[in-house]
This record gives sequence, C-alpha cells and structure tokens, in this order.
Amino acid sequence: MTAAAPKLDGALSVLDVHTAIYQTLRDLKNLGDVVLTPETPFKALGMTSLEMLTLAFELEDRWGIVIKDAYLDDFETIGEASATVLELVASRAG
Amino acid sequence: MQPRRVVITGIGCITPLGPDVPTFWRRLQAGESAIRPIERTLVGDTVRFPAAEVPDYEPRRHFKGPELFLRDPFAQFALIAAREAIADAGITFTADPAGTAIVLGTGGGGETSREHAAVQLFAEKRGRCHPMLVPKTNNQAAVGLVSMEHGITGPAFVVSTGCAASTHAIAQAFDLIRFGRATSAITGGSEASILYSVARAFGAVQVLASDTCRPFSRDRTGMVLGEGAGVLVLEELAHARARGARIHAELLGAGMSADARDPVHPSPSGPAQAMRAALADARLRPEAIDHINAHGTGTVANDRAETAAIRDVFGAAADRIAVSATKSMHGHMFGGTGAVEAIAAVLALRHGVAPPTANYLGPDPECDLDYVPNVCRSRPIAHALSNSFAFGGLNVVLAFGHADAAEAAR
Repeated sequence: MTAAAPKLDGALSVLDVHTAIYQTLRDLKNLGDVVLTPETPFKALGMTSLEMLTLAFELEDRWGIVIKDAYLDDFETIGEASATVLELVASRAG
Repeated sequence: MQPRRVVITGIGCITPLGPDVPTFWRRLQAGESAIRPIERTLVGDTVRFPAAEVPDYEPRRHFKGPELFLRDPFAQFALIAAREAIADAGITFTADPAGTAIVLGTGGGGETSREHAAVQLFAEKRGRCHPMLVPKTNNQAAVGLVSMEHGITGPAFVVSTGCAASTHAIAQAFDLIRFGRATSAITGGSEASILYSVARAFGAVQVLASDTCRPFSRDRTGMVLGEGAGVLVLEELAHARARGARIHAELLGAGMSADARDPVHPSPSGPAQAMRAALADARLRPEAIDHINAHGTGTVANDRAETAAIRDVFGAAADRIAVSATKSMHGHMFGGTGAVEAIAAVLALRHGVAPPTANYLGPDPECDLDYVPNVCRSRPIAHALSNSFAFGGLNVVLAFGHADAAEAAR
C-alpha cells in the first residue's frame, strides 16, 4: 500500500505486466485451475465493473500510471490491457 | 433488576510484539520493546520517527481473494484478533446469533486507505476513487466484517474516542450484557495508522518521542505510535458456566468521565473521577487494587497527571500497587490500545505477574509510584484496573477481578 511513485527500471516487459494481471485476477476471482493467457477475455472470467476497476487501481499503483475509465470499457482481453499499460508506462518515462 | 455478572472467556490480539496472545504475553513479561526507528515517505517527503509496527505482517496469510483489496488494515487487524478471541473462548453463534453483541473501538478507522486515496486524488490527480473506498474506511467497517465472518446478528456498533476507544467499547459491551441486551459480546478495537500524515500531525502536537517510549521515567520525551488490535469475548457468567467455558477473569466495573478542561492537556481530576467511578461500580475499596495497567503514554504531561490522579484516589495505598505502562513495549495503538492493555491486565491477574514498564531510566520527582521498572514481577493480583484517557479529556477505567471469585460463585 505504498503510494510512492515506483521506480522505473526501463526494463518492464510484457511478461511482467501479464504476470501482474494474472496474479491480481487470481486474487480477485478464485480461478482455481483456469489457465490464463494474453488471449483470455475478461468476460469469460465473469469480471464485474467493480473488479475491472480494482484491477486498474492495482496496475496504476504498481507502475504509477493512470488508466482512463474509457479504456476499461474497451479492454476485451488480458493482452489488450497489458499493451495499454506498457504504452502508459513508456509515455510516462518519456 | 440486579445487574448480571460478566466474565472474560476469550482473548485475542495482534500487536507489535507478535501475531497472537501467547507471543504478546511472553514478550511482555520479558520486557521486550517493539519500538524501532522507522520512516515514511509520501510525495517526495520523508519523516523519520520511532514506532512499533506489527512485525512481518502479510495480509495474504490471513485473507484471500477480494478480501485483500476491500479491507483496510485496521479491519484486518480486528478480524485477526477476533478470530483468536472467539477460538480461545470456544464459543459458537449458530444457536443464538442475535444474543451476541459486537462493539469495537477505533480512532481513525481506515486511515491507511484514506491517505492512499488522498495521494491518488491530490498528488497523482487520478480524478477518481475506488468504489469501495467509503465502506472500506468507515469506522464501523471492522464491526460489520466481524459480524459477517461469524454470523453474529446482535447489537453492533463502533465507539470512536481516539486513544480510549476500545476501552469505552468494552465498557459499552459490558453494560449490554449486564442489563440484558446480550448474553455475550465481541469487543475491543483496532488501529492501523503508522502513516506519513499521522506522524506529521502528531509531530505538530509535539507529543511524539524522539527516542523511545519511557513512561513515568526521567528524561521521557513522549509517546510512540503503535498499531494492531485487541479483542475480548465477554459473557454473562451464567452463560459461560452453562457451556463449561474457561474463565480468564471477571469484568467487575467501569468508570467514565470528562475533564471538561482542555483539548490536549490532561488534568488529574477527570482520570481520578473515572477511577473512583470504576471502583464504585465494581464495589471495591481502593485497598483492594493490586495492579494498574496505566494509560502511561510517556508524555511529560500524561504521566505526571496520571500519577497525581492515582495518588489522589489511592492515597498511601498507592505505594503497594504495581503500576505497569505496557505502551513502553507495544507503543500507543490508539483505538486498539485500551483493549490490548485490558488483555495485559487480564493476563496479569490470571498469571499473578505484573508486566514491566520498559525503557525506564530512573525516577522522575513528579512520578513517585511503583512502575515495575524494566523487569516483570510475580505477585498475587486479585483486582486490577486498566486506564485509558483520550484527547478531549475523555477518560475510561475498567476494573477486573480474578477468575477464582467468579468460579466460586454459585
């Protein structure tokens, strides 16, 4: 729960973002044996809007970014969300 | 109506001294202080101060799934302490869920989440809050969560009187049982606010210690922030006996008062009035008290006023009372501190051991009682008081009796 801006090591990979999203989804949804991939649609996991917002807050806190609410409605898959996170982190670095 | 007798059948705590009651009591007797120098950084500013944190706290060990996101640490601590207290009491609620009350104390409730949201709003300009921020930070959040986790449906509310909150909460739970609104109660309180903003705010009042917490000692410099929770299971004596419960101690009386003087400076008159009221409520003479768990914050003003109040109430008999200030070890846990100190008093009665006042350097001419300096003391304890005083001049004192008297009652 630290609110300090996280360090940006410049080496954030798509895999790091996927791993963070998988972990948060498993915390939120008790997914058991369900296999998560970048192609997994959030709808298939039964994500509510509250859960999508909670996911967004977790990713925002982790990387010091702001994900616009409008993006949240557009994310269909884990891969789409991670691509946006990478873009936001890159634009913050610049 | 003759008030019913109330006993303590369960205790639980998570404190800077450790995750449960056995660890707490072992380290308390050993005089180990959990106070360390720490720092908090927010939006580029760092504040350094001594504090007593719950060690190695990992929410994932206690909570899973969405619980992790939707519970402020103050509620997490209360839930963990309640689980231990309820298991310790061996009590179940399915037969009569409405017969159990929940009364918990907290000073600031969800301060951790509130500070976090403030940074998101004002520093990071995110322009939105998490939809669960309000229910997560409400002072009554912990009460609701305990009711949900254990299926308890009786009277349930929060008491918020800062540093005295959980002691006031216990006093309310006590009356709910005494006067027939409940047969048992989950009571105590919690706090989790070792935060940048809280350190800055209390620093501004100039009450924070520069080194450590040395209650009643010469060269004391102030109080030290702590965190955690204490929860007790109170039960009507007949109810406890009917189910064969083990009795830790009897809660004999409570006394409450207001100084009506000053927002921050304590006066001896209010605390003395509360101690007298507790003795009268418990039908005890001053000479009957063997041990006091003092409010003992370590500030020059509190310890001087509390000493004068004890002198005023007990006179010469004050010299034979073992006065312990356990904040020297677990810090000032605000809304959780009174319940944890009540648990310390109950354990002192049960085991015949007065815990020490740690970090004691030597006498202060204005503090001339027996503070059990640095080393615990074995001695029979039949009756004990636990004192709590809050900003605003709000005071509450509990009187406890050894379990033997309750066990002997027929």
